[in-house]
Amino acid sequence: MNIKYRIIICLVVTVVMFAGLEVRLWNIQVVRHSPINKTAIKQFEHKIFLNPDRGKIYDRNGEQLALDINVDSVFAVPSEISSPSRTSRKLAGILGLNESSLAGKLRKRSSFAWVKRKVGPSLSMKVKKLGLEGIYLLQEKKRFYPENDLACHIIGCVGIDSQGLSGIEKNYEKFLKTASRRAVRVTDAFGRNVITTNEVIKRNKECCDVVLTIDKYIQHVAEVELKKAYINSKASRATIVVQDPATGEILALANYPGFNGNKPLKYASRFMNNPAITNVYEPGSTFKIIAAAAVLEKNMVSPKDRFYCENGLWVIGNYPIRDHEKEGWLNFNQIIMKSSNIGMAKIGEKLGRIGLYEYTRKFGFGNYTGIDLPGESCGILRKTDKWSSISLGRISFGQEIGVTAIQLVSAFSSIANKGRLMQPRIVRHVLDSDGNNAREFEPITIRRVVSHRTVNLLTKMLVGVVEEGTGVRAGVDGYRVAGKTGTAQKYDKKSGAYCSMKYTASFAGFIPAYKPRVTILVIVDEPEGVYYGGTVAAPVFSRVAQKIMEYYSIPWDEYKLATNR
Amino acid sequence: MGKKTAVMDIPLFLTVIVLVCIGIVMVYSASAVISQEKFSSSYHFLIKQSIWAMAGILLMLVFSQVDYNHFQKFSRPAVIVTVILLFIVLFRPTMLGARRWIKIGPIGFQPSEMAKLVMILFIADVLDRKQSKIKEFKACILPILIVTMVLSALIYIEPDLGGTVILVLMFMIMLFIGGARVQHLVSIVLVSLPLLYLAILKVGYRKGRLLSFLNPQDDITGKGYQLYQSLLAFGSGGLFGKGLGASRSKLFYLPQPHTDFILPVIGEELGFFGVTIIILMFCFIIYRGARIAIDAPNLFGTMFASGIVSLVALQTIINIAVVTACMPTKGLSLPFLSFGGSSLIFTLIGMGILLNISMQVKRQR
Repeated sequence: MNIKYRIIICLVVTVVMFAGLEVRLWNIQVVRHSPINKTAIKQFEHKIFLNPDRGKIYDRNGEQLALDINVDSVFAVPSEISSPSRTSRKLAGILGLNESSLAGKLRKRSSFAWVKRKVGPSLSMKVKKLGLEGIYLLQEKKRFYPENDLACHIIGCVGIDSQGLSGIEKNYEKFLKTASRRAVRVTDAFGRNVITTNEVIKRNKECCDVVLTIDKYIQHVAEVELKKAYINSKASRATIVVQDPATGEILALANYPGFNGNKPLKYASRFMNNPAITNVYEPGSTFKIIAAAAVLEKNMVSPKDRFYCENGLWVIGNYPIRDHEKEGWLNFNQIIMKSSNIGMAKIGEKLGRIGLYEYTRKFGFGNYTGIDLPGESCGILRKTDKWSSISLGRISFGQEIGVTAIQLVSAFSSIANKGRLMQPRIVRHVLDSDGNNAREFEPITIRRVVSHRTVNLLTKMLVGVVEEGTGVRAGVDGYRVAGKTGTAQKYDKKSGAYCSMKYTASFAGFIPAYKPRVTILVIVDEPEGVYYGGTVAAPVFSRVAQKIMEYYSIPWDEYKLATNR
Repeated sequence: MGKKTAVMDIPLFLTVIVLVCIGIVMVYSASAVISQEKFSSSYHFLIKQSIWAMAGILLMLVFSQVDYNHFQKFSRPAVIVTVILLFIVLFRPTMLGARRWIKIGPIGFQPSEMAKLVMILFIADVLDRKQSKIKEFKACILPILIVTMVLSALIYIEPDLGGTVILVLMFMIMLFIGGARVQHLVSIVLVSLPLLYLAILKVGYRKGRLLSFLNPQDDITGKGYQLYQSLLAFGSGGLFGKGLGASRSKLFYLPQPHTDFILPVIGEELGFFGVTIIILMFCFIIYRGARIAIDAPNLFGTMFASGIVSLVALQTIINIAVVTACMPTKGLSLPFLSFGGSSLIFTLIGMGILLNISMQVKRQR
């Protein structure tokens, strides 16, 4: 065999071997690329899930009530830190952390540890200036409420991971949560940081921002006046709801005390609840409009019909019913004006159980109003077969029934809205990321409750309450006000009786009486000293209503000063 | 030297230059982070490799102008000098677990790289002088066998198993091409099998290496770690790679990314596509080398050329087989591409000799 052929044999063997290696490389690099690449990414990259971006919350005029701001979070790559104790000493001082627990974190040979999340710009500048090895900043989003505690119970708040915990933040989570974010850290084999990128994983294309029915100005006015009343009366709690009767839109809703959504951890969870929709209370005399509307609608009693008010004490069976004033004969108008329980009980007797139950339901009690806020209660309304012999009378003047503020304000609004009950609403529309309306919420009429005639008669009675009855302090210069006071003894569950020391003072009404623009309900819970709804709650109504009338530039009904001074 | 009318093999020359340049770029890419870490400058390995490449290319040009027939008379002195150098190495301090370098000033020098070229010279010389006695064991094969055993034993003690394997395989290939009896070669293999067994399985780390390559995934934190990382690098590169400089394996995951394991980094950054182009360039060099060997003017030239080409082919194949986990880890560099002065310079000297042979090819075809 010639040497030439032996060389060619070697050459062929060589080429075959290279071909074999090519096949092997094809197998590793192309055929098995994706599983190997997955494993490789797991080794090279570390993912940190960050808070999702959230949309903004606006009031009805486009004022920002909640938005995201950029803040820095500080994290450490412990494997890059040569002296954990020195690093933790420097950092702990600036960030206000426990030095020894931080040092413990940094001593672990891990490749990642949060030091402190969401620090302010001045702190993050200080951390930057220190230039410590193995300490990095990562931009995150933080929820910010520019008005602090304004409308806190409506807006709600978010948790540390930007998840909605209460209010609109919770109920509109799926619209507000717009984009999920994560940071990808590329590390070397020792876990040291090489690069960190911040990327958007998923964007919610559906919607973005939420526009509330709330008017920031009215909300502000309502909160200021509510707080004053709360402080002056040393109450345990106070609630105000302002509603547009024509549409059912909530213009303002506040409870005092509230909380500051920027610092949610400072408040106990009971401050986060929204008593205006979760708290069930006995409405007392404000509830008298239900039975009154029912008898007027059914033509059973006319405003001039007279009832004997038993000189302030009427005993049915063993149960006494008392009036505040000792009255003899009063007509229907006067019964409402002076808020006689005995008179109202007698009107209730005329109406009967079925009639009262029917109209209570018709006005929306015993049902959820469907307001778009979490935790709504439907109140307490027992079936008529569970009623005792005096239940009919008591329910007629607002005892033995549990309602929520939102139910009661809606019931008053139905009178103001010519007899049509509207669903109370808190969100006007949801905007998509381009600012277009993605969802519009139209006013929803639930039902017609009473006729125009009934509305006119009842409104006249309620005007009487404010002009010469128990509600004179609710009057507003230049406008006729229709309203009703309520002073309810609180039922004590422990003793099973109404206690003589604790009251719920309230006032509900609308203005201008014959062309209503707003319905306002004020509830002051457990005021100290003077406890009448007409004294504690009515003035709040008056001041808030006056400011709203000015704000809306509504012409005076007549040149007439209110009788409340 | 007289007949300088002939032209050297320009395509071969250019391919070598391009490969060396790719090597410099890839050494920089693979070593920048490690260099920054160790020397506070990312250019440490780049500068060294560039200097060696320039020196190597210069030497290649010089050797291409020296008639290769002159070297024949130096074959026995060269063997003696190499043996002495390999002895000296044994008394040098250990570096990276082996005694491979002789330091002359700032320059480290690996006699084992020189030994490979010297052995090729020696075998070519003996086969040329005793070409009529090639079938006789005592007269022709035995002296070559003795020299091979001495050289490979000395290299084995360093220890450098990869170098030893290369010498033994070179011996087999050159004798085969030279025309030795197949029975002789087979019996040599049979006799050396027990030695091979002792050499590999008696040394703990080699046994581990030998077994780990079979299933690198089983022991990714221990013995299989390097191969596992190598496969991750190749596999994550995919068809076209992550782009030049984008390797993540080189961030201390893959040990020796700029020396023996430079191909995984190339595979990760340039993909299957890039690796294939490099393999094709090697094939081209081997093909041109084989043609030069066939067309060489005398048997000495044919054997010298085929030895040099075999050396390049063997080192390339073994290196690629190792990094793709087809063979146990050996510690062999990839010719032209891996970082390493002695390897690069002696490979380029070999290419220079090959180019000189190419200038003297028979014209009759």
